[in-house]
Amino acid sequence: MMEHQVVLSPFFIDKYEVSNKRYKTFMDATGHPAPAYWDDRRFNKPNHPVVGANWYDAKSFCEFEGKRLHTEAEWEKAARGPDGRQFPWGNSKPTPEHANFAIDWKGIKSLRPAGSTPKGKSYYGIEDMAGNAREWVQDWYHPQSYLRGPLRNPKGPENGILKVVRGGSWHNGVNDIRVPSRGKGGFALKTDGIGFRCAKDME
Amino acid sequence: MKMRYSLATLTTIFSLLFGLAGLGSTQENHQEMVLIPFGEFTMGGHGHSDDGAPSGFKSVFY
Repeated sequence: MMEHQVVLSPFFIDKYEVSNKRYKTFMDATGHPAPAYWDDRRFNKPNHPVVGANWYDAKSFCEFEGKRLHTEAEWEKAARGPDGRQFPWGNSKPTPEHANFAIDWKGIKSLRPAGSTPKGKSYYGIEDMAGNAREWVQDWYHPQSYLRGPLRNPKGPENGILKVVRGGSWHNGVNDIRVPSRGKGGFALKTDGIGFRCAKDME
Repeated sequence: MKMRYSLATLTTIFSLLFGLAGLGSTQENHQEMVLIPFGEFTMGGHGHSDDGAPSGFKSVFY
């Protein structure tokens, strides 16, 4: 994808991915069904990022909190900062202190609690934007959506079947946790590698 | 025994109590938000890649 300049209005974004504890509040208040893996001990600690939620679950949760899913462009700016980084923390290669991703390292390879790798925070101080859980974004996926949309506050294609996921997960290798790397998944997809965070317009 | 506290002391105590309680709440619930300022940034490039496959593949409706 060609490099290009995008202008975004100011916005707020969650510092951490949505946790199981936050998601439970939503379930209790609304009767919304539990996501996949809710009873799986590998993923269901209160401070784990919630996984196994599909795109609509993520959207509903954010609306419950008076927020919305961020766009792909918003995610990339929050992760990349103003200086075009390869990874949220900079351009140095990732280590287990920067991100939870698929490399051979000491310990068990799995999802980790939100905020476990503060050394990997982005320029803006946002955590877990590389590895751990990938993140649903608002946009429908198209391979060239970057080039089709407006250069100011782009929101992606009008419709589609696949949604964009960004950030790489604990399953992914180095290449897929780079900030410019894009992933995609069907809107009803539920996996143990995808979570989300929410955003809000600055009023 | 009567104990007297100055307004400054009481303010400090309340700040600590409620400040720490607030901090704990934020960390526990992970609800803190960060403001991303207005402005232009570079999107794409740098070997931008599209890995094509979602993570996980446990219960797939893809």
